[in-house]
Amino acid sequence: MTLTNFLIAALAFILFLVIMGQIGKVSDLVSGSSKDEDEAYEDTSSVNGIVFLLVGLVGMGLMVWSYIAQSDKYLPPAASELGRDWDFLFYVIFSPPIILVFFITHITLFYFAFKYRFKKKRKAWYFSHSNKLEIIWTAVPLITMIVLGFLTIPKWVEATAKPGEDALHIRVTGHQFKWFIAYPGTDDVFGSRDIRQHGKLSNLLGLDPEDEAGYDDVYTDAEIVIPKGREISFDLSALDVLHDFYLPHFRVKMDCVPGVPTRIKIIPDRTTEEMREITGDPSFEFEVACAELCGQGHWNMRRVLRVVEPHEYEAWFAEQALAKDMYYDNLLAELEEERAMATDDDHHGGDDHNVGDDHDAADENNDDHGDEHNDDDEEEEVPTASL
Amino acid sequence: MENTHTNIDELHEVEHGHDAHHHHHEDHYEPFLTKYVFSQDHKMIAKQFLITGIVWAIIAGLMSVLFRIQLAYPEKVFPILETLFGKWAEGGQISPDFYYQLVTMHGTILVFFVLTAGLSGTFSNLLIPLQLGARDMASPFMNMLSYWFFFLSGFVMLLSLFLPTGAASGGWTAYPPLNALPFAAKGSEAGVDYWLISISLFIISVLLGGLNYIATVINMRTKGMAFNRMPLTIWAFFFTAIIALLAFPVLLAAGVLMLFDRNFGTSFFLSDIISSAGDVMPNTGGNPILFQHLFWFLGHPEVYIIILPAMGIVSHVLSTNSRKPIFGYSAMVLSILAITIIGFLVWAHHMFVTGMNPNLGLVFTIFTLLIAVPSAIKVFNWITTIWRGNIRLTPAMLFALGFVSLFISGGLTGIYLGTNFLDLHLHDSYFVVAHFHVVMGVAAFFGTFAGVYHWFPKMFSRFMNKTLGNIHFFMTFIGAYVIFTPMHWIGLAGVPRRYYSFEAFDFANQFQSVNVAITIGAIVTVGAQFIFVYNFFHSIWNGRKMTTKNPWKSNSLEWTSSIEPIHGNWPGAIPAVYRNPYEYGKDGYEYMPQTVPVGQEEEFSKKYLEEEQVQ
Repeated sequence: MTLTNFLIAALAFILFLVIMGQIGKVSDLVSGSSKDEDEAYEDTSSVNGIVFLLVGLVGMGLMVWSYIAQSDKYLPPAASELGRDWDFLFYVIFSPPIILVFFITHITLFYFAFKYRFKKKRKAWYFSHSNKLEIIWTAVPLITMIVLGFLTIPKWVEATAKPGEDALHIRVTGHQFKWFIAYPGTDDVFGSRDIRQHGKLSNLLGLDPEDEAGYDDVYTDAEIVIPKGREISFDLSALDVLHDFYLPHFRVKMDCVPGVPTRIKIIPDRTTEEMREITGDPSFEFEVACAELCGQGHWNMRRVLRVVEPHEYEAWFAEQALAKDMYYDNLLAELEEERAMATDDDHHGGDDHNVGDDHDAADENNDDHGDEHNDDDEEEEVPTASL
Repeated sequence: MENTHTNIDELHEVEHGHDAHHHHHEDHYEPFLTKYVFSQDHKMIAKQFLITGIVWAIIAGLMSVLFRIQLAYPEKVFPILETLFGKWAEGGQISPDFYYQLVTMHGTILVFFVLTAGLSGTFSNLLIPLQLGARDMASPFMNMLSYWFFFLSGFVMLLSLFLPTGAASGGWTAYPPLNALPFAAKGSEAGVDYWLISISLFIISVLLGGLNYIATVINMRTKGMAFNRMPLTIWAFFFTAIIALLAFPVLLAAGVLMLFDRNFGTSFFLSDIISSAGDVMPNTGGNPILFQHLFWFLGHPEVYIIILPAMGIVSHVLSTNSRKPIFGYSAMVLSILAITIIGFLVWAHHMFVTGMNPNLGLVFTIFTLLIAVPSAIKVFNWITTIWRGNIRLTPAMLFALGFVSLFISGGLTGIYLGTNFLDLHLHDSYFVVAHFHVVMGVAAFFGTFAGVYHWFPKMFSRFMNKTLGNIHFFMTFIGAYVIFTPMHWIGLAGVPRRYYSFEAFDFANQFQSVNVAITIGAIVTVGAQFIFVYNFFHSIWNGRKMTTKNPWKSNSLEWTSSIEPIHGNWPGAIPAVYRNPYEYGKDGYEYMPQTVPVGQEEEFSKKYLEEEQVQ
């Protein structure tokens, strides 16, 4: 928008206000003329009544049209049984009564406002209460709500239940503004971690370099690949702020909370390939989005989730580099270095905590307290290691 | 008997009969400072709340235009934005930091400053003494403090907009750790401290006001004004004040704890945090979800703090303009009571996906669905109220009808959202945005507008222009649906809220044309509000003068007070009350003010008919 465009827009707006001001003046003059109060009410009410009814009816028509016209953009059928249950409950169980109530109440509202618009001769009907009516419209919503509520309970319980024994656990860690994805190795155990003890720039996840259970884990920065038909439990956490692991095509999401483990599970029963056929979109992908405001990059935490046949998954998994090669070797090397330095420091000056001076730039960001803590722990561990 | 006659006379006193008193009153000259600034008159304080609210609403409305422009035209360059906002819109595009500041401030300002202070503050102050027959609030001084704490709170918030690091940008809910960690966002540096201080001052304002409202309602009703003769407006303000009194202190506590976490190294809401620069925070043992519990313990009742006054106003306006009693007065009062109580038991339905215990999720779903019942009762009663009435479609009445429509539309989508299983998909999507904007945002605005158009003569002794009022209504009503209807199916398609741009995701990026339509709708609708603003300020000085005391032929007590507002409300004795507030059309009488003693109906009616003939 150039300045001229802006000026035109501003002028148009001023013109609009001026016109409104004139309308105001004229209508003041008109209504100031001799008409009696009731006739004035009659006039406004008949115009407003008709317009209100028209706006209501046309509006409801357009509303229905818009829902239908945009239906090609809705999400495709969910790729899990529970997701399709979601669709069923939303569209088939909840929506019909809700839409019905919407139309009944709105049509009566618009119609009554029109039908009973002010007439000088009309007498309003004195009708102040009716216990029978009150009981009806207390009981009907109450029963409807209870029925609707109870219908969803089993599904909620199913969605939030503990994952089964043979579920595939994937560790998801949210961090401004990306997801860390980890698979446990063949031992099915993740490497343990503790941010306060091990966290630093080269080890944001706070992995314990000496926990061998983590050596065979698999980390991926690319697509999250999962096998079809197997229960997947995403074990969620976050490193800095709240995030939310959202899988729109499975109709689930769950927050990632620093310091509090959470999880969400799915049983995908359609592969990416199958979804491409169903949607007729050869570029279809399952997408992971962040659904909890996490800062200025919140809108851009995309990850692709690829559902494949189990044997394809096995093949993919076998090709992945192990965490030992990717992270742990480096971490162990750094640990060696730190220990060497710590012993040096001990040797030279005892309790000198200005170790940061010797560290690289990243470590300088650590506050003194953190460093001290690390050093203490390491000193305790050194003798154990030498045994 | 003598007393009764005076009452009836006063009801229909015309201008010339009133002048004598008017002149008499002008002898008591009040200095500008105590009349308009540090006023202790409840009516002036109401106007202060209203006008401050209007100013804030304009600011927040324009903010929404800015971020809607970003959503509709993410690629386009608007050099004018850089001229206006400098580094926040470098290259003529709104930056993500600025976008999130706008979204956060839009929410904060509208929820707290406009729809809490602007709505409840205005009408509780104006109507509680007038409709109950009191000369002023229980404590006029506290009432004045209430406004000035609100003003101060707004001033701090306004300052934060000009901070070099910007205003708070972590959402109006201020969730930690995003809002507790200065490195997590630009707005979380100084902006959140300002936000927390501002909200703390605001809470003080609300508490001072609320205590006053409660004390006034309980203690200062005029003779005969039994609880069951109070207009529904008063019932609504009364319960609103009780909710505010119980809920707001919890937010204050949460805010103070957060200030401690931010500035004094405590760990109430923080644990195991590392920044992307590798900084390890020393905090341990805190839980960010605790803040959400505290926040929503206020936050959910807060939506009832916003909507109950609107419901009260709408009930009153619907009944008055349908010339019919409100249907089911007791049911209306009981449903407000039910909403008040259940409203405190549903807060965690905002938190189904935070990982809290799933069994807790079940409990909160049940209570949330239960709260639909009193809401439904109210809707059916409103519709029955207009049924076979004689409906004067004034701007106030149109807005009241529009409120009912919006409350139904927004309330029904709440049923989906309150169900935990369905919330798994809908949570934090545009479906939520549509839901709460319709049910408590726009609906509460409609309640406010209904109140302003209806009681403007009581505030300024003049009328607003009704043609402009009609245009304002239809543009706003259509605009609201144009903006928020599409958001429902955008949300159903999974598009998350608070996205700076949808371009990163295939599933979210297919609604570009819809977003353009919404933005145009928003610009037109916000533009239409300037008709109101013009009408409002123009009418204060130039509107048609009120010549009779009771222009709407209303039953309630405020229309027996003097035409020109005076300190003390009634020049003579405070009128006594003899009947219920909604006796319209009873026994063949068109209306019957509360001040007409039982047995005097005939006399009142004759008087009224005579006057009709004179006119």
